[in-house]
Amino acid sequence: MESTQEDFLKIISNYQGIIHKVNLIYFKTTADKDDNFQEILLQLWRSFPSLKDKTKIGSWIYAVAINTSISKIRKDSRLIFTDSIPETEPMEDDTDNFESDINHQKLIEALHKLNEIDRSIMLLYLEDLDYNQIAEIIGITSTNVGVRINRSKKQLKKYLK
Amino acid sequence: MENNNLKNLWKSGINEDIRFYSEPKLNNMVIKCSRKSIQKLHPRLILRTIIILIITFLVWKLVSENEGIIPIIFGFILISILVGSLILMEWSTRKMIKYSYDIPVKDWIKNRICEIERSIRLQKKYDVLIHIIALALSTCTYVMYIYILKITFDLIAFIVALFIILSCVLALRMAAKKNYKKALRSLQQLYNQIEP
Repeated sequence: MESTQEDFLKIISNYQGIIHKVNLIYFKTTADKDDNFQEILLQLWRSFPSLKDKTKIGSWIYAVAINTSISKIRKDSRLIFTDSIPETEPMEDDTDNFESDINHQKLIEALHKLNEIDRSIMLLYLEDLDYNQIAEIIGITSTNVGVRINRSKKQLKKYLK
Repeated sequence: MENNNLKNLWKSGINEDIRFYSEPKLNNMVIKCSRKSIQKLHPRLILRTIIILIITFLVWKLVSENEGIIPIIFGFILISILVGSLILMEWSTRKMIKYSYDIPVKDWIKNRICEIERSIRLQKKYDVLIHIIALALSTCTYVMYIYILKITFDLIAFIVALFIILSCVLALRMAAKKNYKKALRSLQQLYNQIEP
């Protein structure tokens, strides 16, 4: 039990970025993100004993994180999505960085406008997963993944204009 | 927008957006998770213990006291209903443990839709039985109550208690049905996003 907990902690420590990124595309407030992080952790802990292929830890975390987030976002009607760009920490006086950050925030806002499934597909795409890996996590064909990515890119382009 | 631009834009600010948790904080969260995992089973454990206690009491009462054929038949019926509900509860718990999030999104949504549809079907099928079980449970509890406190049977109090319990069960079941239907609609919408 102790070693299982240690192994689990090591994995979460190395891969926590995945959970944070999934949270970022589904939730806007820190409270919701923290809440969902805990819920994802709980579901990962429960399914950890059934994790057989240790080479696919990333895919396992993505699948659990997306399923948990979709479940939460759908059942939790108290979630209020604000249209404003979230406040960010004060930054150094660097115009290039500032502009890129504003654009990054706009991209996140634009991602929030996609439906839940396309949002998750785009996250996996932006995280450099190939079409086959995305298809495996979502459960659709890689051709379908390609079609959806192209469609979402067009939508994002429209939102970002 | 070019593909690389979109990816570059995503990566340009992602580290500023994420607050990575320290290892001690993650450790605390993992400990909480393992505890929470156990705690979620507790309400069922309490209900299971109550049902087992009532069954034991009824069996003991049936064996130790000879009160004629009608109380014996009544006792047997109550015990059978309670044992049946206990088995159903164990079966649903096993099902819940099997239920996992680490499958593809499409399969997960499909599984959940099937589960909810089956629950709605079961609810319709066993609607009357659930109310009978609720009545049986409250009757047993009342019998235990008057037996332990050694008070006389009061028919009006008994009817009022049954009425209150039945109303509560009915209200809870209506709320549950509404929630199930809402969840089903929402999951079907999600599934349509994958398979339009």
